[in-house]
Parts: sequence; structure tokens; C-alpha cells
Amino acid sequence: MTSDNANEGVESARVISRRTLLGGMAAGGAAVVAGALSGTAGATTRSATGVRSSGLAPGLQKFIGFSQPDTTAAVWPELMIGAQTVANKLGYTLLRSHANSELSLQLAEIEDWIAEGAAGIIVLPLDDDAMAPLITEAHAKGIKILDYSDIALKHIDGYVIFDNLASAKSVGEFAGHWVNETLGGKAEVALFTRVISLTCRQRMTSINWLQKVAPGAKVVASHDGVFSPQTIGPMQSMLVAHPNINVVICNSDEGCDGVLQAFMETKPSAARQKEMFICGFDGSAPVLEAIIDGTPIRATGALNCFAIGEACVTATVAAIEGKSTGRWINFPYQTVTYETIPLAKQLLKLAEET
Amino acid sequence: MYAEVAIDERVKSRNAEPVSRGNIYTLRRLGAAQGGGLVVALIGISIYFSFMSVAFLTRANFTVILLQSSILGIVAVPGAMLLVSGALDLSVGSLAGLAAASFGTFNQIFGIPLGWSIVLTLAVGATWGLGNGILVSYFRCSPVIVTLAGYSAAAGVAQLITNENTRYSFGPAFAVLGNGVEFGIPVPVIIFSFVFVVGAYAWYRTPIGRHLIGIGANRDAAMAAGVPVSRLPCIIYVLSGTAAAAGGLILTSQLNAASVQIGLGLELQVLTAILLGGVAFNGGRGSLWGTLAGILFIGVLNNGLTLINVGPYIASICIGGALLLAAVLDVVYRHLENVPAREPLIDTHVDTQEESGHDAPHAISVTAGSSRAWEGG
Repeated sequence: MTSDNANEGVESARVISRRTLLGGMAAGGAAVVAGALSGTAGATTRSATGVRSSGLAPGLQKFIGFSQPDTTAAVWPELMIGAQTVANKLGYTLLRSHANSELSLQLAEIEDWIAEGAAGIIVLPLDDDAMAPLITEAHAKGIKILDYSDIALKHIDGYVIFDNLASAKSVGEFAGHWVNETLGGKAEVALFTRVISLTCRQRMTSINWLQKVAPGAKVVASHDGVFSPQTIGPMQSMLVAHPNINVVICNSDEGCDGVLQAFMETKPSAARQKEMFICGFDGSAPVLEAIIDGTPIRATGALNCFAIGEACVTATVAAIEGKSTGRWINFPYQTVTYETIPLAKQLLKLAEET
Repeated sequence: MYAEVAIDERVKSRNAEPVSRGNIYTLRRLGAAQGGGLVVALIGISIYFSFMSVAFLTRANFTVILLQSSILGIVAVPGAMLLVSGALDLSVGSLAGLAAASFGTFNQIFGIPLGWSIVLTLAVGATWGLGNGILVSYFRCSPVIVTLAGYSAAAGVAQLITNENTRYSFGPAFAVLGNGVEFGIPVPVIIFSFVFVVGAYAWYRTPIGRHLIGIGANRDAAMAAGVPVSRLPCIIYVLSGTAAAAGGLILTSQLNAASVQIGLGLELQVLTAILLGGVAFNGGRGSLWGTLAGILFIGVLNNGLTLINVGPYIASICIGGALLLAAVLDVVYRHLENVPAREPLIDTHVDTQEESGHDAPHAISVTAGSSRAWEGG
């Protein structure tokens, strides 16, 4: 072997060694990803493919896609446990969504489920109009598709609709009576809205009912915000501009804590605290606890999220099995206030158990 | 010899050709426009809001503005240092969320005492930052890709460890961090002031600032001049991760809840504040004072628009507009930078170790960096 050849050999060995290294790294990376996926398999559960039930169309697998777009919401664990419980009971595998409020991700995920041949899909749409082509696509493959939350989409196979408007009326009227009794009918109101969401818009009609009962209540400030990190800053500013704000309506319980903290930062007197009314919707555990503790968070339109999860899967299975009943469900809210502490405790206990 | 190594080709060519006084003044004016112009804009919008709302010019409102700006500021100080050195950290928002999730888990699931939970949470941020730093500085991976991966992964880890449950009620001792007041000043504002003073000292009074600018301007020249081009940005990444974790802890304390929603969008706010403050996106130019102006600009705009009850979308449009203006100014600025010079723009005198009182490599980088000193560095 000449010295050139020897050098080539060394160079070649280096190249091979580098390739081997890169190959090893790739294999290692793949192993890590595979390990992570197998570690979280319980969360995404795509394993039970190929199991068919007698009622399913040919090619469809016995799994249900559950697209709840925001997995960070406090209601999410209860919702999913309820859904999972019924799915297990009825012998279906449940696939969860991880779109985290991104429309493109939600649509891609539903397309994946359609391509994989899900038996049924139930979705809380981030954009109602964007769902239309997917409904057509699902139907073309014989897949049942349902929605839950605020509206029954066109050509849908079933739904679980929350009665947002009735809850808004109930919470709004309760707030109005509180204004009349505690503040003599006059109040400065702040709203935390989310205008792109129909659910939130429906919930915010509570202000109309409040003003109907207490016409002296005036809206002095409003801002978009759902979660506490989004509401605390604007609430601090609102309280500077309007120090006498005494009613705050949040479109979701998720924002109530931020509002409360911003209010408490102003070091309000005991009398001032008594003249503050914060309310939201959902019936999340922190808000139920705050109502029980007698904080200025005084009311929420509570949904039994565990039962909603159950209803979503029950309705989907009813649609898959071609039943005419049990797939169109209107789900009521329960108004929880400082006057209904036993109900608050009952819902809190349920939340803690799940 | 050192000067030949340290001064980059552009600076050499600039020295070789004369520049008119007019051009120098134009450049200086533009340099001032990017950093100082924001201060003028800040004063302008402050005057506007003070006319629009009687609540604006009050002590309580200034406290609120500073309080709301403090978390952004704490994260933006190391962020500006990274950007001026040609790197960036897009993972800070998710890291803040991860910090909140980690703290909740340490304290409420593992029952670790409060103080240790805080220390461990900061360590989580620092470790993540170290990982970013090693990958970017030593392995020369793209900072955008590395920190974008961190942005995604940190959010995922946060959701995984919390099982998507928000932990809450951490007690009054922890509340002091976010809601406490010392000497009439909110604790987060005190922390931000401390971070800013330390950052400004490092930037302007030690070789660190000039080294970072040198790395951002020309990494090879800076390396040849003996600047620790890998170690320094790596350390700043560790500080950035720690600052993001501190920000997450402060917001957790304010809310008394460890929500994984904490820090959502923080990275864009931080980047916006830094870019508004005149730090060049490609590094090599910028100032910490400009960054402070950027932080306050965003804080005042958000606060003022809430006071006059204008929706948050308008705030987003205003900040976008200001950012666009900053980008245009940056392009004009870089274009004028290449205008042929008729007289030397920089002092060709080589600052020796004896004269400067610093190590020789640093002294050289000062000379190279001095061409950019008038640019706001």
C-alpha cells in the first residue's frame, strides 16, 4: 500500500467513522423518540387498530377521535376521564387531540383520523366554517362525525350542545340581583370577552340580563382574554382607570383567578371586597373552591365536565351504531353561587375524584 | 498586528475611502433615530394617553406599567445580549411555562419546601439554557432551530409533567415574589431593576458588552482577537434560561397558580421589545438602553390602550407598525453604512493592554468595536 493509498484508507476510515457516528446518532434519536412515544402510549392510544365491531362499516376501525382543542383548560382532565370511562366500557379506543387552540393543527388531526378510518369523530370546532369540508370527507368514508359545545354544524351526525344562552341568563340575572341588593342598583362592570368564539359571545350575553335586572349597571371596560395570564395585566390597568369596578364577568373560569389577583393587589378593604362580584363559566375546581371560601368570585355557570365527556362518547357511539336516539344531546349548565355552597362542594368533590 | 486581525473588511474599506461629514452626521442621526427615536415615540404616546385618560399620569398607573413590564424586562436583558451577539432564544416563553409547571410539581406533588422548589425551578431553566448554549455555541447549530425546538419541547414537557392540571394555592410566603411591595416598590420591579443594572454594568462597564457586539459583528475576527466566542454566548443562554424561569415563577406567584399557559407568547414580546430598541436582528449593533425603551414602549402602549378601552387588536397593530418602522430604519441604516467614506470613520489607534488596563484581546476588540460605538453599542 502506498502512502497515498494509506492516506485514502485513513480518510475513508474517517468518513466511515463519521457516517457511523451520524448513523448511530440517528438510530439513538429514533430510539429516544420511540421510547418517548411508548412511554406516552397511554395518553394517545392508537394501538387498538384492527379490532372491529359488528356495527362498523368495512375498513373502519374501532376508535373514536376526540378533538378538544385546548388541553390546558382546567376542565380538560375531567372531560377526558368521563370520555375515557365510557369508551372503555363500550370497547372503543379513544384518541385525544393535542391541537392546543391552533386551527391548522386541529384540521390536520381530524384529517389524520379520517385517513386512518376512525369509526367516529367528535370535535369542538375552533372554526365552524372550516369543518364543512371535513364533514363531507368523513361521510364519504362512512365515518360518523359529531360536534360539541355551542352549535350544531350542518350535516352533522349528532351533537352535545351546551346551553350557553340559558346559563348566561341565569348568571347574568343572579349578578343583577346581587347589584340591586348589595350596591343599590348601580355598578361599574368590566368584561373579559373572546369575540371570535361563539361560546364566549353567547356567554357574554349575561351582561344584557344583568342590565335588565339592574339597569344602573354600566359597562366601563372590556378586554379580550380567556386565561389568567391574559386577564391579570388588563385588569390591573382597568382598576387604575376605574377604581370602582365592582362587577367583572369573565367568559371562562380560567380568567377569574387573574382578575381576583389583580383586584387583591390593590389591597382592598373588607368592605370593598364585599362590594366586588367576579363570575365566570365552566365550574373549574379553583373557581368552585374560591366560591366556597367566600372570595369575591361569587358565581359560575358550571358544567359537569365528567358527564359531558361521557355524553360525547355515548352520542358518538349511538351515531356509529346507527341509533336514532341518544345522539342529539342538549347539556344544561348549573348555576353555582355563594348561595349554593352544597352544590359547589358536590361538584368540587367530583372534580377532585376525577 | 492585532488591529489587522480584528478590524473586519468592511471597516478596512471604510478607512481606505473618505466619507463626508454630512454622511457621518446622517449616520449618527439614524443611529440615534433607532435608539433615541423610540424614546421620543414613548414620550409621544405617553402625552397622548395622558390627554385621553386622567388615570394615566398617576403614580398608581406607573406602578402598574412597571409591574407589567418587569417580567418582560427580566427576560429581555439577556435576550438583548444574545441578539447583539448574533444569537437568539425563542424558547423563553415555553421555558417560563415549564418553570411554572416544574415549580407546581416540585412543591405540591413532591412536597419539596418552597425555597428549594424555587432553586430547583431556576436550575431547570438554567439547565435548559445550558443545553441551548452548548448546541448553538459549541456545536454551531442554528439558534433559530435549536430554540424553536426548545419552544416546542418545553411546552410539551410542561404539559406532560403536570398532566395538564393547574396547581394552585402556594401560600402567602410565595405570594411575596409576585405581589410583595418593598419600600413602596413592587418586588418584581425591584428584581427587574436589579437585573437591568447588572446587565447594563456588564454591557457598558466590562468587556462583555463589547465582546458580544464583536461576536455579532464578525465572529471570526472576534475569535482571532481572543474573544471567547463560544463560552460567552453559552453563558448568556444559561442566563436567558434562568431569567425565563424567574419570569415564570413571578407570574406563578402573581396568579397563585402554576398554569402552563404562563409565558404564552412571551418570546415574541421579548423579541419585539429588543428589536424595537434598535438591536440589529443579525447582531453586532444595539444597546441595552434602547431595549429598555422597547420594553417600556410595549408596556405603556398596552396599558394606555386598556385605559382608554381600546381592544388589544389595536395594540397589536400599533406594535406591529412600530416594529415595521424599526425594520425599515435598520435597512436604511445598513445601506448608509456602506456609503464610501472620505475621511476615517474609526480611530485606527490600537488600544494596547497598558493603555486600556484590559487584556490585550479585549483591547483589540474595543478598537474593532469602536467603529460601532456611535451606532448605539
